[in-house]
Amino acid sequence: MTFKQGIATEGAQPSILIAEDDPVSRRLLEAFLRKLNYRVMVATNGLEALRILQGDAAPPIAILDWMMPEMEGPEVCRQIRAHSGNPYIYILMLTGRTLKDDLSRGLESGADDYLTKPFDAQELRARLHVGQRILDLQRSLIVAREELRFQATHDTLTEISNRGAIMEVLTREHARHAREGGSFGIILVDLDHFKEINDTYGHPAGDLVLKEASHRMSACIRSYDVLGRYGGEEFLLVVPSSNGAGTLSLAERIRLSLASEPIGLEQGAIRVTASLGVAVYNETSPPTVPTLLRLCDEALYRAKREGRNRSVLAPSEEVESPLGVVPGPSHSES
Amino acid sequence: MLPLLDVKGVLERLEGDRELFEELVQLFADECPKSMAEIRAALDMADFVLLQRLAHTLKGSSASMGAMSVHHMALDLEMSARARDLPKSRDLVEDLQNEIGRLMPELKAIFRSVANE
Repeated sequence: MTFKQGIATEGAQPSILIAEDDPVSRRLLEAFLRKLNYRVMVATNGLEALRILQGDAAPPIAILDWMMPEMEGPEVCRQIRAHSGNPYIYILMLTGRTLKDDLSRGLESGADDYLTKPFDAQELRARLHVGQRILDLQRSLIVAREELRFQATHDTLTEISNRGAIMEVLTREHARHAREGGSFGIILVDLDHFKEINDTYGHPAGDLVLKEASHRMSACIRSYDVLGRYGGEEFLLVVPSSNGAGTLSLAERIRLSLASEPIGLEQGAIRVTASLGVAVYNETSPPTVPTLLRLCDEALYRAKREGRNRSVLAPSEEVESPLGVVPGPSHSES
Repeated sequence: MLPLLDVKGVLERLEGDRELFEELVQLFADECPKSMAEIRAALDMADFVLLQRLAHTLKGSSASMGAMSVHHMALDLEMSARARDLPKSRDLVEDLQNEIGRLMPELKAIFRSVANE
């Protein structure tokens, strides 16, 4: 689970496309670029170049000849820019030493820079260096953006979804099931006597318990279930397309994964248990999101009251009287 | 008169890579007759769009090879094709044919001298 996945690794041999119909200039470019350690892809006309640049293995840099059969360089450029998204392709346009307004037309079509023929190895190197700098800058911006995205939606300590993110998942699943029908479950997990762990072993030990508990819970769930940190030692799990029995049995698996094996701390291994409340949304009496959470919280409270280290399934909605339900006592004693 | 072939300039641009130079000379020597045949065909059909592109390509390869006189004639031909000037284009194609006729032995000589060094 890392935000760096899918971003090209630095230092790998960069690839580049040459689109040039003249075999002499093409071979010359290819030889220069290989010396600069590029992995060279070649197109001999504009259409072929466009196909490569719009394909899955599109290189980050392209050198396009202006005049080519099938499609000219500026048109290739325009089409690439018209369907722009990530990742950016840095485009160098190759021109003959011709008219000045050609250059501005080339740049207006979306090229980043141009190179006039005949060029020398030194000039090509310098231009590519500029391109590489732009691409590196863009890559570091993407990495930073993804890092921020991750931070905004994840709990720093446990690296699972944070409260905001898990509430969004719950709201989305609620809306989806209201639209499409079916049922889904939620589970509130509260570690038993967590305050005592903090008081006895210190906060670093408490943090370690939270991390290990998240880790064990994550191992119990399916890829489309979402686990989030709801509060201090409380976790919320959203279980799409699941009924009461299914969600309760998942809650039990989670409970056992915590209780069956002690958690190793510097001061020795300690046994950590949890109490779990389970509530289910179903289409016959669809609860609102706040009601669903309240039912789940009440079930959790019953699990605490009945001796902890257990899972309790909330009764269905009908229990609620039209006069409203008096809020139960909070479970701050946990 | 422009030089037929600016060997020194090309080698400078290639940073003295004689092996590459040799390969490019050979490639260019193969391309020239092909280009000329295509240019003649385009001229016969009075296909000025194609003629302009072919002249442009020859202009590029001759520039890369330092064949300066061919380069300038190809540039003139590109312009006359763009202007759809048939008589001028016809004259320029003849000039180009002659110039390339003078260039080919030069290319072969240079290719030999490079190969023998």
